[in-house]
Amino acid sequence: MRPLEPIIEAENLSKKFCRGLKQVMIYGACDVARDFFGIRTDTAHLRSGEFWALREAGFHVERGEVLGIIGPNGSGKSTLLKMLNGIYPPDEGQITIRGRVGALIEIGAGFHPMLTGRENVYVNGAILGLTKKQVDERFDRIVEFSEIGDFIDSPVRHYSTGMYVRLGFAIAVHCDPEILLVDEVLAVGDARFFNKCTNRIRELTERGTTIVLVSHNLWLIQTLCDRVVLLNRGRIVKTGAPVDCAFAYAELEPAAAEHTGLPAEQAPIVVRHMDIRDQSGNPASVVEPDAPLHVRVGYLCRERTVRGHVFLRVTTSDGYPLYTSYSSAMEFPPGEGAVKALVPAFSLLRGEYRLWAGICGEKKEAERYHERQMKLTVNPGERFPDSRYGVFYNRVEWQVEGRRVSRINARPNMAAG
Amino acid sequence: MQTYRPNKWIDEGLSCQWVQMCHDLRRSLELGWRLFVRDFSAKYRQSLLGAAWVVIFPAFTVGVFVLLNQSGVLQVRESGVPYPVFALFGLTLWSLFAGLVSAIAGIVGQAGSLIAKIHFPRIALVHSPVLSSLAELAVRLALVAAVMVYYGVRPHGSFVLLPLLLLPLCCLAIGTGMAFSILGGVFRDLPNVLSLLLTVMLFATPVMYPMPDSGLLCGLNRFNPLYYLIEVPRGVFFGGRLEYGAAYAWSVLLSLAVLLGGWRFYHVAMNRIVEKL
Repeated sequence: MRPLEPIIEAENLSKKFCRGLKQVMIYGACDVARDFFGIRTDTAHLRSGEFWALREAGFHVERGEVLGIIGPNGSGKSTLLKMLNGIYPPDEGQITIRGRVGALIEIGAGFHPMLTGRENVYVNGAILGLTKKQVDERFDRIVEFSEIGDFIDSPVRHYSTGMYVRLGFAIAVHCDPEILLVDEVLAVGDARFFNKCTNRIRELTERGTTIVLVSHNLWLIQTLCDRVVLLNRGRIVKTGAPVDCAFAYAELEPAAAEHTGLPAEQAPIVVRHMDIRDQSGNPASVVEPDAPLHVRVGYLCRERTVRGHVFLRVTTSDGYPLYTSYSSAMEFPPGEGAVKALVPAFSLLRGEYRLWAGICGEKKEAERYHERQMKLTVNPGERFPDSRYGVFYNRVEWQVEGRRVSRINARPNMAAG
Repeated sequence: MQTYRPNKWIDEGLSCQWVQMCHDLRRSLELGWRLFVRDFSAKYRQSLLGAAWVVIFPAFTVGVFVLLNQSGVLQVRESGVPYPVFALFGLTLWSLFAGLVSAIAGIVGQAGSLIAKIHFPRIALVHSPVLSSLAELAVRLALVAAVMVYYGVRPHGSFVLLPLLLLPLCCLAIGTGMAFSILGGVFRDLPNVLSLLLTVMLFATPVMYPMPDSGLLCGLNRFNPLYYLIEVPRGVFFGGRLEYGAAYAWSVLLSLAVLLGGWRFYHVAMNRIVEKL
């Protein structure tokens, strides 16, 4: 085996599925009959009712690399993983795998509820390709990792979801495969176990295990992966650095249609427009971390005077709120007007966000009148080239105690927290 | 190194496929044993009577037939051994066949999520039902032995050949079961069809009664391999005589063909089925 060859190679990979249940049965029967009698099946064309779940995907994974696969729901991530695992045969293209594959596609698949944890460890180990002797050797480590303790001799149907997941994960990561395929399974456990799992994954990569990871957790992807494949509607949209793909992914996601305020016609006051200005007062949609940010919110107040607050909110591109800032209580007389907000040092790091500006009554969240939103792109900025391990920036002052440590570089290192 | 691409097996040829199938079989033995231990120890864990269920069913079925026979409703020709022994022995062999077919036919449906989520030698799923059926056969044969002692019936000296003679019956059942397990994954009404077929066949095949001398049943069963695969072992077991030699030989060949065909079908079709589960 030449060490330089990629451990996984996928060329022009396509997979089709069928929508209708009746057609699934008919096509299934036809395909099976053709295979049985050794007649070549033309899989490269769609029959009526079929669609491409994955189309012309090509990528490779090097030995010891961690490849992330991200994409919206239904973009073909799990299909791709199952094809790499050999569960689904490709309809077009070819996969070459140069190593022993272990897969964590669903944790605890194959657990029998009536059997004890101990018995299930042996069964699951056998399903994943271990002999009894190999399970014997690993048994104590598996139990220790899973933190199941004495419950190992209780039937698994009495386990909590967390215990179930922990045991399943523990078995899979102790099988020592050369390639580990992981499909969105880390989302189930609690935070502590999640950390334990990610640490274990790091440990495996240090030992040279190749990992392909499917996840919606962009943070996890960015901290663990060396390279990322972004899928959308069955096609590879982008392959590259985790950060770049995470941004491209955020672009794909349509804005979360979050509008809980009153319809514009009923609101006593509406936000007419909002814009971002840079330091010199010119309109901007791109900002830099640690730089000042000016936002101008124009409003139109109808008929009567309104008492309330203006608020500014930043959410992730998919709508998860990061922070909200309310103005002090104000009185808006009827007519048009504008409020300016100044953020002295914008603290978010490189990424795609959404900026919301709105006006609410005195009860704040419970009385949101109207709001607008716009895309907010934060550039990396010269001083923040690597924002891989965090979302926001905090000024940190470092002091050295004693004389054992000396500074090499006068420039302070930027830390993100 | 592993490659996956469409029509791979057709490109590489039939012999390559059989090599792969044998390789899978060898690789699956350990897992198959584990799954058998799992299924067997889980099966009776929450039942009061436990493994006794294995003999309760045939005992009651034969009991009904014996009742029918004694009250004269069911007239059975003399067959050399007391009727209860004859019927129970026949039913035991039939249960081996029917149990194997229906247990194997259910594996794809039961292990659906496992098949769809983990890659392992699929043939491993077949071992567990085969081993449980053999275990059940052993228990039922113990019941037969007890009934034989009660009626004072001695088997012929050639009864030691019984395992060998039952092999073709097992082959037929395993091949049929594997084919049905795949088809049942696509057509969900097949399990019902199968249980109906097995019930009809139980009464239509001379298992609980000797072959009639004439009539429709006699004409049909002349071409029923199941009849020979059950009747010949029974004849050898009790009388030491091998009747219907040629028909038995053909039935043996047919069961081998069904086994190999079913195995190949199972192997080839599994990949196609998995995305439909």
